[in-house]
Amino acid sequence: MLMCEFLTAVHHKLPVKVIVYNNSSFGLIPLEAEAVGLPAYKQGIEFPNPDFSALAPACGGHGFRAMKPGELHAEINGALKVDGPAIVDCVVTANEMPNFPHLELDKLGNYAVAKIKEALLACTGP
Amino acid sequence: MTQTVADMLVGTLERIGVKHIFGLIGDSLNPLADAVRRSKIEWVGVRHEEGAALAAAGQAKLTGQLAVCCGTTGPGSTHLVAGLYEASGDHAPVLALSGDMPRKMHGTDFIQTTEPDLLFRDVALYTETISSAAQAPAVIHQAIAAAYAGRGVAHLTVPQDVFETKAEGAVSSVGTLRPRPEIVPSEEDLAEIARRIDAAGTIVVMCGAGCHGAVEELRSLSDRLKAGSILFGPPTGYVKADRNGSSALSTMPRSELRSVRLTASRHSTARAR
Repeated sequence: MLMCEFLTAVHHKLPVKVIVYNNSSFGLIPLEAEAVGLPAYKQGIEFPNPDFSALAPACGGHGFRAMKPGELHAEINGALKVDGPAIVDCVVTANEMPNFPHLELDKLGNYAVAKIKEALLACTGP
Repeated sequence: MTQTVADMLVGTLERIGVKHIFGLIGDSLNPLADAVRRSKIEWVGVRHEEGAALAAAGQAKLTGQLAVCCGTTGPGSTHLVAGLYEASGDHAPVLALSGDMPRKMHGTDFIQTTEPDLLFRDVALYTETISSAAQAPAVIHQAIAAAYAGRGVAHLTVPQDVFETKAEGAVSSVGTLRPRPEIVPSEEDLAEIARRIDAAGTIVVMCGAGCHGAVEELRSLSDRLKAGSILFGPPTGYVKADRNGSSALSTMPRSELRSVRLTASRHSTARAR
């Protein structure tokens, strides 16, 4: 789904409930760089995020946000109860590691090399 | 550190004065992004590749210099296409780069499989896949030369494993990769145009993409003939630098030329009186 199509759901009064797993990052892309031994390139990977729960009412839908695990049920129930499209912005940790699409031994070595490079870059700068 | 094909490409772009690459990163572009990180070129991240292509088209039109955009495997590069039509339509020199999956995946219906060279055939003057390090220097040169020669889009597909592989050779004749020289019309043609202008009752100056780089000359001509001007393309700087309201009217399709000609003639006749 493209973000602009939330407006399409509002336009056509479609009861679409959107759950955003919001880790504020392109989680898989850094991992793919690290799997080939390259440090994750922050300038290309990090983007500012909108407040999705505020975006929904701006589009004419309903917005919800779960910041902690305990809030999740209530927020999702809220989204299911309202008429029409809703967004539930669920904040998850950015550091949670996605699965390697293909796990091979050399990738683990590359990953370790990339992590060392990232640590060095953190000290020396790009 | 060993130079890769990505380093060679980025190094060549740096040498010809490219300052920005517009794109959205992805797995196959990681080696390119890493080469950019170690260069003086700035990576400008966008949210959708069409925006990257439009940004490159705009930059190329404003500067006359090669602008560069990129998208990753499959949907990343397919998103570039719509934006690139602006560059091809307005004759802006743009190099578009498509990342692609490693070659060992090709032909296996692997996820996100596309054939970028087929897809870009219509919008690009030149499109080629770099399949080996040995092929890279000549093809990089050819692509950039084509973008400048035709003033349009050149496109390269580079599989991730080729980007990462050790470079072979070097891009030669980099000094020739620059905006093409303006071509002077023949004396006979100029004399004939002057004769027709002298014979005409009312005149309107119609400026297309071919007027690129001739802002002052166009202005002098327009002022001297007291003729209105209509811009069809982007003669860069014409509107912005306009001092005396010498009537830059609008841009419009050529099919409307006839009705515009009548209106504009009346307009310029009125002004002459």
